[in-house]
Amino acid sequence: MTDWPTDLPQAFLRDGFGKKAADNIIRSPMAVGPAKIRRRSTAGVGEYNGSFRMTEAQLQTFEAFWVSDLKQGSLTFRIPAPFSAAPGGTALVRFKEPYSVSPMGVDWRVGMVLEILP
Amino acid sequence: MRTLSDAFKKALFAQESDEVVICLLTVDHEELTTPFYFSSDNTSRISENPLMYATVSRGREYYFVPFDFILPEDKSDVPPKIMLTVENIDRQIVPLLRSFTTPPSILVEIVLKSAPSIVEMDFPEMQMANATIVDSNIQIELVCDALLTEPFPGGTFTPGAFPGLF
Repeated sequence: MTDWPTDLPQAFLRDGFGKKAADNIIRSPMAVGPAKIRRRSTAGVGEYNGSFRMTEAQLQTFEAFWVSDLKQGSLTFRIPAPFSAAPGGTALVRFKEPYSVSPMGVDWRVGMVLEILP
Repeated sequence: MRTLSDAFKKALFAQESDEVVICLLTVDHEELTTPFYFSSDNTSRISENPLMYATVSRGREYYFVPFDFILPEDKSDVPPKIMLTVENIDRQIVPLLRSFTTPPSILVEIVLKSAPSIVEMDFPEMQMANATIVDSNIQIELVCDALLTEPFPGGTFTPGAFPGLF
């Protein structure tokens, strides 16, 4: 299993970070009264939406990681999990869409949307 | 009348339920050395690379394949028919389906996530009758031996076969 490189930032920027829980319920509306709800499957797929601040060198490391290790984002990898109760906790994720890069002062903001796999 | 467990009946009638209904498929064919086992639920992760999920029932792993299923109607004069819709197929499934010269037999079982080894419902071994590829999914029709459509009696006295009688 591929892990997030240790020489890259280990936490998302707080600014603009978002986490979406999995939508894993089936809702059946009734003719009268509240809808009936049940769980669709054992585990659903959540989402992280955030950015990392990287230097020029870190950006090059990240792009090599994305192309070579993740085969252009098609493979899963482990990343330090935000809100992890256990220190050093990781999450199994994969890219939902290609990452984006924009300038941030002298550094770069690398934005990404990741699927959290069960 | 079908006998369901108390847990299943409780989940069916509850306003909200955390129970997950899982469909297990056992696909067998004379050309297969071992049957294929599939599950409709990603109960537990068994491998990270490649990424695979499975449901363990009665000591056997049923591999997760995302599919929807429609159970047959409970009518006495209609042969049971189950519809499976497999999502996100790739090019490997179509040649596999077309390679069968005789239909595979498929055992369909319904279990709950809380007790995956207890079979709540099972259907007699059905045969794959039809497979329709629509956009990015494939719809598979499972039917029982259509005994209701077999003519009875097997032979009849007709002028063509027994002209002396007419």
